[in-house]
Amino acid sequence: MKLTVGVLLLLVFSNAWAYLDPGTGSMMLQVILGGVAAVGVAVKLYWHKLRVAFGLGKKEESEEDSD
Amino acid sequence: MGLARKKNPKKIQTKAPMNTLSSEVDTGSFRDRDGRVYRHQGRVLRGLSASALENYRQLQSKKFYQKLVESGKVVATRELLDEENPLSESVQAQWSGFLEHEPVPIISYAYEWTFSMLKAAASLQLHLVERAISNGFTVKDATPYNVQFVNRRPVFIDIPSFEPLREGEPWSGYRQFCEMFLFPLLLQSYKNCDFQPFMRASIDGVGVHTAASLFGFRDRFRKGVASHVWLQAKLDRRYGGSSENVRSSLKSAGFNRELILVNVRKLQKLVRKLEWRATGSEWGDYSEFHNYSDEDHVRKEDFIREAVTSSKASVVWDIGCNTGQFSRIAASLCKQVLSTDIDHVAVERLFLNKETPDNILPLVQNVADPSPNWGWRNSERTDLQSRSDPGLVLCLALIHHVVITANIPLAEFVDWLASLTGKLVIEYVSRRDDKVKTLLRNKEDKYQDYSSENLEANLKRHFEVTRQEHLNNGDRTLFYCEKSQVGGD
Repeated sequence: MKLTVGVLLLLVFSNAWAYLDPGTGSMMLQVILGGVAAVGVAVKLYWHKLRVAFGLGKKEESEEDSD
Repeated sequence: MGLARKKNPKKIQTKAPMNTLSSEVDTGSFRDRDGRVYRHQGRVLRGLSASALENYRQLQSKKFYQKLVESGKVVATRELLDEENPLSESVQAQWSGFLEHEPVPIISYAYEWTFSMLKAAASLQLHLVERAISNGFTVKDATPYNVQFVNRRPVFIDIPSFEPLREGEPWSGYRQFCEMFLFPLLLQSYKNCDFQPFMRASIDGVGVHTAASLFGFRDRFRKGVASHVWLQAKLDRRYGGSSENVRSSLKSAGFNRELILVNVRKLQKLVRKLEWRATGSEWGDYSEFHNYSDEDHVRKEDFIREAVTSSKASVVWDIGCNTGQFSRIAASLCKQVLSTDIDHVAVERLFLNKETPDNILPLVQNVADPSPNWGWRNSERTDLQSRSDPGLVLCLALIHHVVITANIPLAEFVDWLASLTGKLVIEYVSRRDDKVKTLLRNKEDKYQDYSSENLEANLKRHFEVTRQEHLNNGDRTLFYCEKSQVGGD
């Protein structure tokens, strides 16, 4: 299950945190390890990507808050 | 708030080029562009950029931070006013403000620590992350080089690591925590594999892929391995090379601090439960008691006591300290003792023993292969002599190991001791002694230089031998030596 979630999260991160590269996979892992609390986050992330892929959502940064 | 008045608030930040660096700059402090540490006459000062200064001012107004400082978990720090700043004009011009930190008596590094020392540092690191994140801050990195030992307790020294938490972002220090703290601890606990050589050879610790190759199929079900080692390595392979920016995606998906805290708490539990059942140490159980009569033992203790007192040393090194029995004597008579031994188990026991005095810093160290000057420009991490200046060195029941086991010529060993200090107690162990017989048992005896006469002759090249004492019917001899010119402390 965890690996599936990991695969679904097609996330990559830029080096936006000071001098230390946090590592893309490592940041993703934090979502996975978040357990039950993270499932909601994972689903929302995946949902957003899916919408973009089908042209139903904006590609660039969205200003709306999560619900 | 004690604000430092800036001389020129609108000045442009310029940095001096490398070849005109102040000679007072700490050569290990450069990776974070927002600050730099300077040492001036024993004081520890830190220049901060405008943003780092702003972060600090926010941080020090927070209760959680103040509590951490009060409890001694974070180093005592204050902002330095311009007029109090002793550094040169050109250095001051490079930074928006300065902090002053309480100095650490002796700086030490993770590859000199024992398992429990690294574990204590790891627990401290996680505690700080938990406290920070619960209060709107974060600790942006996780390296044991930000932790020092004072009175045998870990203290966090890198104040600019605290930054305001931006909602929606994961903990940036997690991977580094794994590579610099967790994996070394797992190696020691799960595989009884000494972590120090890894930490000494690799400035960034045990990499995720190295860890994955070391923890094989059988280890995958041990606590912490599947997630932090195996899964992290897999995800790193798959996603390490991309460059897409998804900070916004995470944020709009609702990533929040709770997720970080869940992970941090799991890590805390994992670290807390890690144990190292030290096995089969050749010297771990060894006590000098075996080789001395009670009377001789008392005479040796008295000799040491007198040596420390008359040396007036405030810092004493006990090299080859083993159980630390003589370190303890020195500790009651001086300010700070550095106790080192090649045996990880012995040093671990010394560290864990509740009766060990607080002013003893125990470190793992091989005299024949000591901590080097290495890292960037071979001065990022330094040797022990650069970090501590002993007024007296105790070299008890060690010379036979150095000359016979480690094959160091006796004359060179004495030269090295003379380079450390102006005052020395050295114990010669004769060939009649059981221990020496053991060391020679499987070797051809080529050690012509190993003799009491030769030791005395070499000591006299550097020192005056002012006291001598024979123990064990002459099998062991103690020498107290002082340099003719005043040296050391």
